[in-house]
Amino acid sequence: MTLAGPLAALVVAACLAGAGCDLTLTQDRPSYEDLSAVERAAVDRILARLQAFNAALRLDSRTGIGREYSLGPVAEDRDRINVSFRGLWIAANLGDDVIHMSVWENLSAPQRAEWASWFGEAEAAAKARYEGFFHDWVAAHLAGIQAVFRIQTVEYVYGNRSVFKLERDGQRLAASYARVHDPGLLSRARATCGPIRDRFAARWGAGFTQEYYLANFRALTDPAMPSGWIYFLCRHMAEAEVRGVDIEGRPYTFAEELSVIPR
Amino acid sequence: MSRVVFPAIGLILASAARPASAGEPETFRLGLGFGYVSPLADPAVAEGLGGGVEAWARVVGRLGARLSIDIARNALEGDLSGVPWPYTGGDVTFGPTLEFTSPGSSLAWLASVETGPYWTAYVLGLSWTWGVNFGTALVWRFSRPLGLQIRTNYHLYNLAPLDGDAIRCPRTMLPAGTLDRLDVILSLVVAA
Repeated sequence: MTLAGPLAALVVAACLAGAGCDLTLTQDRPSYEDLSAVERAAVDRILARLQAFNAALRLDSRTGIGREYSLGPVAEDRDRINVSFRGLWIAANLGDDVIHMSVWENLSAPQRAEWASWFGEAEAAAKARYEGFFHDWVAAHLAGIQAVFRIQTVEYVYGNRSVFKLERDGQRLAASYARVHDPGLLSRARATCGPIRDRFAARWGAGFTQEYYLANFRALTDPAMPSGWIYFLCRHMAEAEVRGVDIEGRPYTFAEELSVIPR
Repeated sequence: MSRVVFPAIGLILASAARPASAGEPETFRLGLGFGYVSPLADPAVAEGLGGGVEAWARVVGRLGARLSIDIARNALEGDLSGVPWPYTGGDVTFGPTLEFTSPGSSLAWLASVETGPYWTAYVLGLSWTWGVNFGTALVWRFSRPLGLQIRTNYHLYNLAPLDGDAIRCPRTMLPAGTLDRLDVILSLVVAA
């Protein structure tokens, strides 16, 4: 027991010096009112995109699936858009009716410099491109994933779907949504994804498979530098565009793309 | 293989019929247990079940050493109840033990302090962190070499990341602070 005292003191000291001593895994998200001005602006923009996607989903799921689906509370409650983390480059939808998205100002300087270097742009242009890509295109992608969660149920997705195919479905739904309801969004996403695919094709092009993605998921989605995940997203987008037309070259509608989602 | 295993099992069962004899301090003990585990006071992580294996050896007198491998599984609840991915974790820890009762008595009371790597697997992936635990155990040697042990360990982990990935809160994506877990485990032990 002679060791217990010093070890307990060590633990308390480590606890006090570390991130906190509340001894809980989960924490409360700050409310919209607690956010900074740039964070609130990001939430407003992401929520507007989710609501636009939700309107299209409610309309087209009636014809595509024969039943109306919606994105649920994530498209109604701005407190369900989490942007407050810093130094982490994250865009995620875990199925708990929350969208997590990094804000440009909360990225670290090396992360912002890395993004700007992909396009050879100055800070202001890189910021505008980042916000257009993540807060609109990636938000539509996460809305597509949310639609899959709502249509197939969260339990089914976790039990039966791979994250690679979930990302693929998210991009297919985002691409068909944009093609029908907001062609300008698709054009802007193409303009960003093209350089990203070119830049990282030699590094990950051959690895664009479900097996590679699952085996390297933690490295590809590293929140310090998720360039692998962003490349895979852009590859899914390219695949969605190729797949998104029938044999006569007619683009599939959003309703037709939705029709294949039910399990 | 069976030529060795079956006689060994038979020897253990046969010797189990003999009463424990006081005054013969055991020098080595293996245990396999199952029981209750809980992350304490977390609104999104339910109480759970777990277990583990352990090896204990007497070093000198009342001082021993214990190696333990624990696993724990807890469902998510509250806001995260829709995510059917359990919060699982465990540890591989090693440390000294002190026996308060006389060595060789049929009822032994021990305390331990251990440290080692802790793993956590949940919706955000797998993380390895460093942790410590403080425990106490009652061992009842109801026959030789078998016994029952009930032990409780209080774990503090996520004290430092071991693989570069800190444990993050799945509700906010923010790094979690120190985490804790309480185990109450009932084990069958075999001593020599």
